[in-house]
Amino acid sequence: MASKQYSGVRESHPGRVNDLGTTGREVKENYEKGCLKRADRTFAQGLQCQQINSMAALMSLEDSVFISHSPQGCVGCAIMAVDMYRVGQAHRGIKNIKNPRIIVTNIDQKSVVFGGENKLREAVKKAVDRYNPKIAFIYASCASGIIGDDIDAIAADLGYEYPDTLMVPIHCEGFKSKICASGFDAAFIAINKYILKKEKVPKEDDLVNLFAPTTVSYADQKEMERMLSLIGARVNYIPFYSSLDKIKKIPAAKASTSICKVFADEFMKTLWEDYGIPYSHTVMPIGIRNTDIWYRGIAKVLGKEAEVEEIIKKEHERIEPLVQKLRERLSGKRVFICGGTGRSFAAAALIDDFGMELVGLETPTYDEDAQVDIEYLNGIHKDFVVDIANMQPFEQVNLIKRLQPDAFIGVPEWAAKLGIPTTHVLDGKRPTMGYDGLLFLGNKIADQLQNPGFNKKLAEHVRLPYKDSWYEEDPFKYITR
Amino acid sequence: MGEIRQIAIYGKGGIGKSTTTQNLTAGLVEHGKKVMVVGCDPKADSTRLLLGGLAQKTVLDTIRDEGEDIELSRIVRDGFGGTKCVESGGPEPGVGCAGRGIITSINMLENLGAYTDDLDYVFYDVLGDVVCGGFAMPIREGKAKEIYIVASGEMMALYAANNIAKGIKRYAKSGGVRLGGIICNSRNVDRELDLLRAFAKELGTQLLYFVPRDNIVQRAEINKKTVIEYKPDSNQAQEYRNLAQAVIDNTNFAIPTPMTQERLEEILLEYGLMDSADDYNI
Repeated sequence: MASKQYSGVRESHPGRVNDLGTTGREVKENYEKGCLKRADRTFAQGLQCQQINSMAALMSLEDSVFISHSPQGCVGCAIMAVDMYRVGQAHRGIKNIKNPRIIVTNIDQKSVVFGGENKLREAVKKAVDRYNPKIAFIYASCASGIIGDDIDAIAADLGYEYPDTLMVPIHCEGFKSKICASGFDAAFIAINKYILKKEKVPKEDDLVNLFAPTTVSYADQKEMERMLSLIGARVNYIPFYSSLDKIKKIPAAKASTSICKVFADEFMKTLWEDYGIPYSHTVMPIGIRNTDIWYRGIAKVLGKEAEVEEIIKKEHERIEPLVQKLRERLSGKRVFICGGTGRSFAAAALIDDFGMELVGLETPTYDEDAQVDIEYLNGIHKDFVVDIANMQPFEQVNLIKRLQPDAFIGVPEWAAKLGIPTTHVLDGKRPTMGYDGLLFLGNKIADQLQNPGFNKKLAEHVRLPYKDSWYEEDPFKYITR
Repeated sequence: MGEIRQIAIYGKGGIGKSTTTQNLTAGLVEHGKKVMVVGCDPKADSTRLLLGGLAQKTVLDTIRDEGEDIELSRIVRDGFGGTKCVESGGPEPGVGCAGRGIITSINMLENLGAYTDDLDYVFYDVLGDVVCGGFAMPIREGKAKEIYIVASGEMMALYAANNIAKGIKRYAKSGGVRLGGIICNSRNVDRELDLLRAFAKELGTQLLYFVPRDNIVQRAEINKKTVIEYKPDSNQAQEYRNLAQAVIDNTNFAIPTPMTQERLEEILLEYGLMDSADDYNI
C-alpha cells in the first residue's frame, strides 16, 4: 500500500470494511478468501466526521489558531477535544489552562447562496490579529465543500498579507469518508504540503518522531518516551501538545513510529517517500506482547535489536510478577471490548496477560492490519463476536445484553448503563500503554470488577432509550450486504 | 376563483424557454388571465421581454443588500398587461450555490405572500438542466404541479428533455407533479413534427403545441418585447395565442416514462432523418 498520491480517503485502499456483524473465525476466513464485501447499515447512529478528526488531531498545538469554515454546529463536537486539551495541560503542570483558539465562520443560508469566502477571509484576519499565531489552520466543512468555497486561494492570498502566520487549509469535508482516520490523514497531508513542503533539513541522529492522537494520556507519553530513551532515542512528540517548531523538526528525525496504529500510518509512509525517514508500523503498545512487538519494531529501525532484547528481558522480570497478581484477580472473567481500530485489537490482546476470555469485540474498520490481529486473537480465544462498527450504540447494547460479559473495556457510555463494570481505554487521561500502563490498566479493571457499585446503581436509575423489543432482535439486523 | 395553476417550464439551455414562457404569458394575458412569472435562473433574464428590459433587481440581490426584512413590492415588478415579474437571481458565476438560492427566494416569495388569490397562473422559468435539488424546488413540496418541457428536433434538446423527465418522474411519486406536454420551439430540422410527436408519445405525454420558427421573434427580442406586444397582427403572435389556449384547455397530465439512451437514438434514427439524408452533399 503506497501512499503516493494518496487522496486522504481511506476507502481508496481496497479491502476495508466498516459495516459487518460476524465472529472472529468467520471474519478471518472470509477476509482470506476475499469475501468481505463492503456493506452498509440501513440504520445507523452517529459517526465521527472527517472535520472533527482533523480538528481534534491538531487542536493542542499551542501556537496555532483553528478556523472552521462551517456552520457553527460543526464545531459542537470539538468539546471532547477541548476537554482533552485542558486535562492534558493540567497533567503537564500548566498553571494557566487555556482553551484551544477556535473561530467558526458560521456559514448560514446567505453564505451558502452567495458563497462564504468573505466570511472566511474576515474570520482568518480576526483570528490572526487577535492571537498572532504561528499557524492558522483553515478547516473545510460539508457546507463549504458543497458550495465549493476556495479555501486554498484564500489561504494563499492571506499568506501574503500575513507573512508571519503560516496558512494551512485542510480539506476535511465531513462527508468525504466513513473511516474516521481519514480525518487524521487530511490534517497530515496539509501539514506536509504547507509546512514541510518536501524541504530537506539536517538530520539529528537520535531524534525519533513519535506520533500520538489526542486520546493518549500524558502518563502514556512519559512511558513511551522512557522506553525510547532506554534505546537512546530522543522523542519529537507530534502533534499533540507540540508546536510549529516541533512540526518543522519532523523531517530531521532518524525514524518514525506511532502510538496509535491508525493515526499516522499513512503519514509515516509519506515521510519515507518524501524525506527518506524509515518507520515502524506495528501494533499499539497495550499488553506485554503488543508492547514487546511495538518496542522491537522501532528498535529494529534504529539498529538497536540487541539492546532492546536486554531491556525487554529486564522489563519482563520487573512486571511479570505484578501481572501474575492481576491474573489471579482477573482470570476467567468474560470481557467485551470496544475502541478505535488500533486500540480495540490491542486491548483484546492485553487480556491474554490477565487470562480473561474475550466474548465480543467492536472495532470501526476491518482491513489487512486487523487481519493480523484477529489471527493472533483467534489463537487464544475460542470464538467471539465481532462487530465492525464505528460506535453504533444500539448494536453494542444489544450484544452486551446477549453476551452478559463480566467486564467491558473501551468507550463505556452505554455499557455502563447496563450495569456492567466498565473501564475506559480512550479517555486520554489515565495510563494504558507500555509496561507501566499495563499494570495501571489491570488494576483499574480488577478494582472495577471488585467494586461494581457505580455501574449497578447507574443501571437502576438510568434507562437506555431502546425499546425492550430491540434486545430481542438480531443485533446486526440493519446491516445489508 | 379556482386554484392557481403553477407551471414550471424546463428544457435544454438556449432552447427558448424564457422566450416561449414570456410570449405564452402575453397570450394568457390577452385571454384575460392574471399571471406571475418567476425567473429561476441566476442570469435573471426570464422577464426581460415582459418588463421591456433587465430593470429588475433580483430577490437574492435584494436579500443580500437589504436583509430579509423587505417589502414584496421591492422584488415584484409589474410587466406587460399587468403580469407580475420576479427574478430569483443568484450568486456571481463560480461562487456559492445557485440551487440553494432558488430555494431561498421561493421561500421568500411565500413568506411575503406573493401568491395572491387573484392570480390564475404562476410560471417558473428554470435554468437549462435540473443540475441539483435547488433547481427542482419549483416542482417540490407541491408548488408547480404542471410541467412543460420546451424542446426542438435537435438531438441534444431531446436528450435533455428525457433527462428532465427522469426528475419529474421522481417527484411525481412524492409530490404529485405531472408532465403537461412538450412544447416544440422549432429549429426547422428534418421531420421535426413527426419526431416530436413520436418522442412525446414514447415519453407517455403529448406534443402540446408546435411553435414554428419565425425571425420576428428575434426582432421582438431585440426590441425587448414579446411578439404579441411588438407585432400583435403577425402570424407568430397568433401562434403564441394558440399556445396559450392549448395550455388553458390542457387536461392531459401524465407521469412521464423516460426512455433509455438506446431507445432515444432509435427514435431519432426512425423519425429524425429525411429519406434522402444520406445523399446530401455540399
